[in-house]
Amino acid sequence: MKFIIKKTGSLIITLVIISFLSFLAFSLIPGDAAVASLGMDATEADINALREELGLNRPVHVQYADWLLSALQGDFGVSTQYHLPVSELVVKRLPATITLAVYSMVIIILVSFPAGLLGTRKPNGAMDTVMTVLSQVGMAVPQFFLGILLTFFFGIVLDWFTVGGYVGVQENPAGFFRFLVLPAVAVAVPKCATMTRYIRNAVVAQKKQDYVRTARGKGNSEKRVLLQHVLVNVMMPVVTMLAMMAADVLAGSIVVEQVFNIPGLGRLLITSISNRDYPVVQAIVVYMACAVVIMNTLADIAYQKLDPRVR
Amino acid sequence: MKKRINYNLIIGYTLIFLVLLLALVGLFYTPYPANEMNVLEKNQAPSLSHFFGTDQFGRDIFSRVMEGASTSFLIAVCVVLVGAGIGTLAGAVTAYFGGWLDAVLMRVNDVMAAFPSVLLAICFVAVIGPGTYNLICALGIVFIPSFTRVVRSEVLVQKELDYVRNAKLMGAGNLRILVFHILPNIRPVLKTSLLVGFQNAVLSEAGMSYLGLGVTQPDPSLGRMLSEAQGYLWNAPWYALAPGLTILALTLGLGLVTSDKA
Repeated sequence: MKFIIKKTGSLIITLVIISFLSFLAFSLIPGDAAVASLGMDATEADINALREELGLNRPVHVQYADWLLSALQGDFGVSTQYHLPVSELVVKRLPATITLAVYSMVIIILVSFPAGLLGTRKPNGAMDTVMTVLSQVGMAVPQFFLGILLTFFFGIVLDWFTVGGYVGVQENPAGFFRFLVLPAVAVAVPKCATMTRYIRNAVVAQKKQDYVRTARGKGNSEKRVLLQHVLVNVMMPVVTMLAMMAADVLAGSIVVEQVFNIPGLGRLLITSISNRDYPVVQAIVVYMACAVVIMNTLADIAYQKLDPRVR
Repeated sequence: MKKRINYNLIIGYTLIFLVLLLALVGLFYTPYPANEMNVLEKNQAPSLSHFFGTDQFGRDIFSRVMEGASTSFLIAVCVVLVGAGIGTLAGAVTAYFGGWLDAVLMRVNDVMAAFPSVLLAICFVAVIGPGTYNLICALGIVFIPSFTRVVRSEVLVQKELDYVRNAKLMGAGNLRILVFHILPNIRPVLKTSLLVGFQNAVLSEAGMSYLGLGVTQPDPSLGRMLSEAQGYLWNAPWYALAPGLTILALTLGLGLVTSDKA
């Protein structure tokens, strides 16, 4: 319990530091929100008036405190490109990104465990070699190239889905959930490959330990040794890896959303960067940072719960 | 014992060599000028005069792949040099001297390492703007923590060993011990992480250029070409395959070589 409180404390401190740094960085860029929303040909007086109105000529730390207070109440300001509240924009994009991330994590877990164990019965045997080659290729392929290949085969050659035919979850839930499967595969494959390799190496290393020999000597079946003895010991680093993967999946979805033309957080981030819509960029950066830091903290806590030695 | 042929290394080095050859030749010679447009030869299929066909402006895709490969190589090398240079320095100094600097830098390092590199690089580019040099800066900074961590943990082990104590007794200064005694001993580990870093740098560069946050128009970059090719998948699938397979060959080659080292 004390551990959890301590972790939560450092979580909050980390988040405050990250949000302040990103706020500072964005306030240092030449051309602030006033210039961005009025355009190039606005007069100096107009810009100054808007700056006054938006409070942009106050010291940075005062602006930050102000931003933080409203952010905590869910108000991230107004987008300069859409002229809509940022929080409204972000909430609208959330379902696609979250569904994509959850799908990908499910695929990673469902595929990498069986695939990782497949070759461990006979290390360096034929099956193991095949799995190694597959995971090497999987690790090397860029997610967006994989996305393009999937679009080509399933969208154009086989015509199983409409290219770029994303539908919102409200309009057509079935279509929404079906469309996101392929993007999730594109996000998941490189991560699956890494995870498979990791599990394979961990299991092979554990099998050389004395306790495995003891368990076999006591007459346990090979399956029981694997499931009840080896896997339990492999689980702890694997859980930590999975939490780190969750962050990678988030980053991967930014790129893959672009490939499949999915209006998620990643696409919003990219368009906002090219349109210099800094309130939106700031909000999404802080939002993603939160997600990553929270996932890492959860992993730390899970690790501590799973491993009696750390307790 | 019979010596086994190491296929991983052979295939890996062959793939890297092929792409490197393409990139090196691309620096000096391309069959056509990479940015020359030719309206008469738009969207052509692969043929003898255009190995990979032509794009929507009639530019020769093979020439563009060659130049794109050299751009990608150059950026990745610079990124790894920046990241490894600063990272090694920071890791070695903090581990060797310890103290409050170590504590502060490692905290910063942990926070940065927790973020996926693409996400961090996007944040940096959002602040400093796209472009080749900005991309090198952004990715270079993003790659520092991984090197710092590796070097730090190695130096922590090495500095307790007898040969360091011996060197100290012989009157060697701290700097001398770090550079001439410890650094050569961590070279194998550093070499592996350089290769892994290089693979990540190639992937990140391609990803950033694909998103339009890296190399700017009209210069060819493998990532950018892929995003342009996407619109022509229906009638010109080879346009996407050419840059995509080039990236894949390079990253797969690097992966095979590093997996053998690890």
